Amino acid sequence: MNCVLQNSEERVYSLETGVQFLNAGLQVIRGDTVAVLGEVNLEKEKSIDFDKVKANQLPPIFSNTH
Amino acid sequence: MQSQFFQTYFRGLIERCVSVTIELKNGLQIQGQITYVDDNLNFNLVDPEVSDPVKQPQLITLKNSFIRGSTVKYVHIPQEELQEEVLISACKNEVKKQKQ
Repeated sequence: MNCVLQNSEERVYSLETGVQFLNAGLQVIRGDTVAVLGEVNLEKEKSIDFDKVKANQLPPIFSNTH
Repeated sequence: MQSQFFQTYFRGLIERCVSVTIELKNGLQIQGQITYVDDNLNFNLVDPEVSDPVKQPQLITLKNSFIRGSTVKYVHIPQEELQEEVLISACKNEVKKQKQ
């Protein structure tokens, strides 16, 4: 299941700074690299101060041999 | 030809509105009610909640989520909803079928 995302943004989580938002424009994503796909709750999103969210990146699902 | 048994089993969980925890291959645990499952054991969950929202806040704002079957390591099912006998007898039937 390949997908095309418009007006997409990449979120980079780190322990040093808050969440960084990178503009990623239009993306074509190959289905076999997808893990989770979901609808975002915008109200909940507004209530979160992303500058204060500090977290490690999620560990990879796919190994290098994938 | 892959067995249809697990799909049927998960359909039963959907009908009984059982809440399960799905553990991905990277260790991320997502809890929620299954609403859909297909041949590839892709899942749809409503109101997904991650087990550790402080350490892993990436998915906390999701209303629902589609989880690709190939990324799933475990599905944790509550003990009282497990139906162990059903699973055991179905596995025995599978083995019999394969021997034939």
